[in-house]
Amino acid sequence: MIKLNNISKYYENKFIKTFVLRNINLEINEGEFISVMGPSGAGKSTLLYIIGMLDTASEGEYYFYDEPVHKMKEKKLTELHKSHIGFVFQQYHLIDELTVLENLETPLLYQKIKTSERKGMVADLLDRFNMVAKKDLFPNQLSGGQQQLVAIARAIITKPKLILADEPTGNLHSGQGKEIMELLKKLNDEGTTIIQVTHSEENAKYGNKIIKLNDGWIEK
Amino acid sequence: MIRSYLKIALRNIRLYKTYSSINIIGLTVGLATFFIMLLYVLYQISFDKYNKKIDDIYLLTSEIKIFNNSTAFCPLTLAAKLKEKYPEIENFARYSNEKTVIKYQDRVFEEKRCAFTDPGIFDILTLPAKLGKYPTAPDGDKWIVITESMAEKYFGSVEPCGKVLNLKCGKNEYDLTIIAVLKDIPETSTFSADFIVPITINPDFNAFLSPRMYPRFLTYVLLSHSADINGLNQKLGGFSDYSLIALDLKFHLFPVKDIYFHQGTMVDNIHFRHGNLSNVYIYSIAAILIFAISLITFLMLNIGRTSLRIKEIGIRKIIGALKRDLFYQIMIESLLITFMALLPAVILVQILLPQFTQLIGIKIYSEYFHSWMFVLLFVFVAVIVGTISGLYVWAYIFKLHPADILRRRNSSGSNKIYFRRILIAVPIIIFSGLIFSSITIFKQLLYFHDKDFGFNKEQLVFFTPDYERFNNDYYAFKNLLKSNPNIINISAGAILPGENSYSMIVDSAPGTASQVVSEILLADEDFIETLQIKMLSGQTFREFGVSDSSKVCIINESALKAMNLKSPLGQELYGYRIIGVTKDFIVHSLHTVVKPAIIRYNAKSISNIVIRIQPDNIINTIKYISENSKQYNNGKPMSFSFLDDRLDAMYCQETRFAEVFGIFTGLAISVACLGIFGMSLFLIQNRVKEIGIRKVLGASVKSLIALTLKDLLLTSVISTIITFPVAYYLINKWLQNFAYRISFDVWIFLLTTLFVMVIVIMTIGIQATRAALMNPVKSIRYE
Repeated sequence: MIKLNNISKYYENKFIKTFVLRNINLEINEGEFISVMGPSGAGKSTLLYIIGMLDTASEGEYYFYDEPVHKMKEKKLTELHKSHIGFVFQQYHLIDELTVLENLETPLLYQKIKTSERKGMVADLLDRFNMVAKKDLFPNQLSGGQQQLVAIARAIITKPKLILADEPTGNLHSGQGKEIMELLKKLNDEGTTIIQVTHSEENAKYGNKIIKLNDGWIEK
Repeated sequence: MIRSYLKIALRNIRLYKTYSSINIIGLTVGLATFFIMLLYVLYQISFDKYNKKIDDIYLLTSEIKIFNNSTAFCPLTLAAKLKEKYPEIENFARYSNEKTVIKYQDRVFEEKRCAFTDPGIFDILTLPAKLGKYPTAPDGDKWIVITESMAEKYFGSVEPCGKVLNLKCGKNEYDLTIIAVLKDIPETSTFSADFIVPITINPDFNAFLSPRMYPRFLTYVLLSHSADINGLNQKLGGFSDYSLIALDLKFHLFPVKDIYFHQGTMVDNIHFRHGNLSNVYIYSIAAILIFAISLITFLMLNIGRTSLRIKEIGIRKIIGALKRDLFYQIMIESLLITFMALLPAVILVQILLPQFTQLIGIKIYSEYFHSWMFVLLFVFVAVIVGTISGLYVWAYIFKLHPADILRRRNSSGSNKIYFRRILIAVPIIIFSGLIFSSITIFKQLLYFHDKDFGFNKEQLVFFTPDYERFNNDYYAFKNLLKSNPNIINISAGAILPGENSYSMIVDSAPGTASQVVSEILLADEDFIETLQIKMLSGQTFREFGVSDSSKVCIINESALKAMNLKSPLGQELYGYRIIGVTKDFIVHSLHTVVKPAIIRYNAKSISNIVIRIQPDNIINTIKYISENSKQYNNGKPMSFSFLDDRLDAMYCQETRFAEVFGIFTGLAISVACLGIFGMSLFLIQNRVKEIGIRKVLGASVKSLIALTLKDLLLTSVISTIITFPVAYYLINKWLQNFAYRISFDVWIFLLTTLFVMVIVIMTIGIQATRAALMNPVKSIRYE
């Protein structure tokens, strides 16, 4: 599903190259649950953003379902990313001005899905996540765990093949964190590929493979 | 999709209440100012354009070389002669506007706008008839045409055609039959009339038929469409049958479409409404500047607000928004907020338009404002504003990478800071320029008011008797008034200070060949004493002891110099012996320098009376004068005014200008302050963390306030300095209109700078102080 060949990322600033990622070679198959670990500044998030097509690598090749992402125009990238990839963040990143229902609806609006179908999909998901009663609340009226639930619901509403989670439990207490991890596990069992960045050994265990990053290198 | 955009836009407006209201109010004021100005300018430039043949209508004028001026008064028989000779002239109409009294049964009104003219006027100007048919030559001179509103005033709903009106003009009285009713003449017309009657019944008509006479009649001329106006003017220049060769006088056709903005004495104020083109320019520039300030404010605040919403934009990108989607969202939000300002702006225009037009002394019809053309225009302007602001916001965000946004990598480089500083500087440059100009204008007006006129203009009462036999009774009247101890002195004559009319004599100075243009004043023996004019040498008429037969005069200092007279006293000047020389005094207004003047002793031709009264008991004195003047004025009290009021009235154009300009300056300052306030909210919000850290490190509140104010104050001082050369250049141009004007002191510049600093400090001081007083624990955790 995902193939990275010699991916590097650096920032150039007056003749000094600051490397974030160096020569990353990685292959991820459909249905895997990968945990990326490493100290702060190791390049974990950058790797996740590059895989998620929100950022581009400075060097190297990236194939997504055998399509060369590194050669794609921005419009194609956006299309690919919006139909195949869902994101979950440590800070939830919900739109504060929209209600739970509207937050869930927004990705579907951008996919140009018809109103009736859209309403059905949102209602299904609200039901599945037990949030029907909270659909008209705004994000700041919810607890952190509930916000993260909404964020995950929003990430999977377009039925993506790949979910990228950047420390999804980082801001939650352990009970809520566990709940979220269980949910991700369940999604993985249903066939969604998941890549998560985490600091917690315990959470990493939910995955079936652990990649350790240090100073931009993958530790073997 | 659009519904979702609108929803989030409205929620955002509600969420950032302060931002949104500043944004909307600022733009509302800007749009309203712009719209009012637009209406004003369109009104001004539409004058006389209602005439379908406007490009072929001319006014016959006489140019007098030596006065370097021309007059619109021509001999009455001239037009017919010209028409005979030059086939390009299709038609003509002579015209004068007179005060009349019109009576129908028990309805009697004094009417000021009664046009005495030829039937040709109906062919030349576009004056559509509502009822009846316009007169032609065979209709004789017993007809009258009235306007719709006059028909309403005199007859109500009764059919007016065929009714007979009694018209009284001077001593003459006529019964005239209404043959037509015309639609009201547009407000934007230099030709104005409520009644149109044959010129031949004007009481002055027959008395002024001589070709040597230049009476107060205007002549409209209609040329054929193909006529060559330059060629015709050339031919008219050589038309010598009538011209007074001695004065080097030539006839000339002046386009009617240029009358409204024409400067100079050619077009008399009594006949024509007058526009001031430079005021139109200045007002429109001021309005555009205010609009620019409000637009910049709008842009700055939109960017400020967007910068707080960058996270949302990043999230939208991540969950699948294409650039196009974001572009639409930004445009819709921008247009929405613009239209939220448009509605109150239109209401504001509706409310303020009458006040504004009253202030500048014009009357813009409100139908003008309600026409769909203007609605369309307003919407168009709003769309443009909304689009510009949307594009600007778009340019700010479209390059941002979602990964950068979400990881709070600050991408705003120093370039952007400079650009924003320029955006703050522009409003300050504009309003400091306006403040500078306002101070100068008000100083000039004060100068007018306090200027030494060369005589004592206080406590002088000015009378214009309109009783024809008054000359004979003058001394009886004078003696009666002088018996009151509150009346210090009394003098009479023609062309006195405070009067608008001129009388000139052009002749060579004694003993030389050079021509001198001198003004002639006629006065009785107490003139110098009453006005308290300072003498340079010689005697006044009273000191000299004039008698009825004395042919003596007093000249002013300018005349002395212009004629280069070595020992003036005792010399003959144009038939009058010089007995004294006065210091220069101002006869007309401060717009022109004092001209050579000759005051001739003449107690026989009295058109004005000047009375000096005691400063105490003014009301009683006036009452006394008024009561006692009745018997010399057909039983009516004479109409009087204070001379200093009359002199001030000469500057009413300038006073009005200053008022309008002051209002503009006030508007500019308030809109700019709104913008600077909004910007400071945003800038300080960006620095809250920095301020918090500094505070933890031990910075004092004072130093923190200084820190936030420093940048903006520096920007304002630099902006003010940039303003000065431009503002100085422009205002100096305006000052050139006056022969007597103020000089620039350093303090005008200092005062402007001080003013700007105070305004800026007052605007952002509260925000800066609040930020500095904030609990650092809170501000550091803010991120």
